[in-house]
Amino acid sequence: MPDFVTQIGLNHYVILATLLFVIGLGGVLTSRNVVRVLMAVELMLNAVNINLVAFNNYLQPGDHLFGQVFAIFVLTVSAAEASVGLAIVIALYRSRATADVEKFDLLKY
Amino acid sequence: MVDSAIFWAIALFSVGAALGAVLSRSIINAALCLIVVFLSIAGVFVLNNADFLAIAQVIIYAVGLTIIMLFAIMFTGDRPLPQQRSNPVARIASGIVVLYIFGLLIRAVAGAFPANASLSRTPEFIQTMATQGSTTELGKLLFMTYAMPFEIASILLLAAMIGAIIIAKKRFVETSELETGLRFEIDRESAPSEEAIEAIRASRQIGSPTDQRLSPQMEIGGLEETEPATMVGVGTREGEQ
Repeated sequence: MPDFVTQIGLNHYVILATLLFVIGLGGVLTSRNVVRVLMAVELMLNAVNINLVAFNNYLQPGDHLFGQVFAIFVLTVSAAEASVGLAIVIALYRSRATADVEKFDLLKY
Repeated sequence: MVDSAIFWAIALFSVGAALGAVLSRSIINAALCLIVVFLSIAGVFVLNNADFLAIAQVIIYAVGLTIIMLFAIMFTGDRPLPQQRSNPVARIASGIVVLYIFGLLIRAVAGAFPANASLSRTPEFIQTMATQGSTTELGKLLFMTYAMPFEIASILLLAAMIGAIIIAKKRFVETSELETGLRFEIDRESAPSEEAIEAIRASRQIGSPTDQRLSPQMEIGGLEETEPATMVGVGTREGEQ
């Protein structure tokens, strides 16, 4: 078997994170349901976390875990973002009775 | 060998489920796919000696966040939108943007690191990781080196919690649901548009706007200043759930 199949290195994790990030970006740009937009944002944040943990494991000089601490802070911020985002979704649904992002044009005109 | 097999399984699962979360028609299925993605990413963390993060990932994302997402889906209705995707021009444009960014990122990272990069750890540390896990080390870092950011994160969470409650709270609730089965709310600043009221009414399949049982209630709704006590009570109960 070729080397890149059997030898899992940093490149594999970074490319996996890139794929997940790009899928999340596509979801943010194309979906019309506002809850799905939030899901895609969470996907992108998770892809970043993969990067932080993999870089910490492979490139951090010395026996430190700084990258994992940053990943924990990303986790915290994304939890805060999700709670506020979903509250906004519910408030928007009250005034518009739809989950379609293209109907949320109150500030457009 | 076993490691690589596990990695490829995890990679396949996460990318496939991520595609499912973004592309599937039903939003509920998307949320379920998202659980698979989060669990797979927890597996990636385990492969990278981050066991504490893996457990936190399962608890916070795969369980907590997805449940909240499902709540939001239930609140906003899980019917597929009549037109699921944005218009063709926007789709093509976002496709181009996505492909461009993908190419850019791949070009930046491909081959930037040695293909057989070994772990940058001393054997003793790897041994400690294997036997004790990373929790002790992480705890030391969080409460000593990063004590200040840790406290600031707690303030951030508190602010987010208060903000979420205030944003999602119902300000004024007009209920005539006992009579008509309809419950619609009148926001103090901006009453829902006719369109919104129509949409709610259509989704609940009830009578026309000139329904006899409904019109007196709507007049009461206009007199916001009086705000009868019962309505306030209902509002707080509904808002705080």
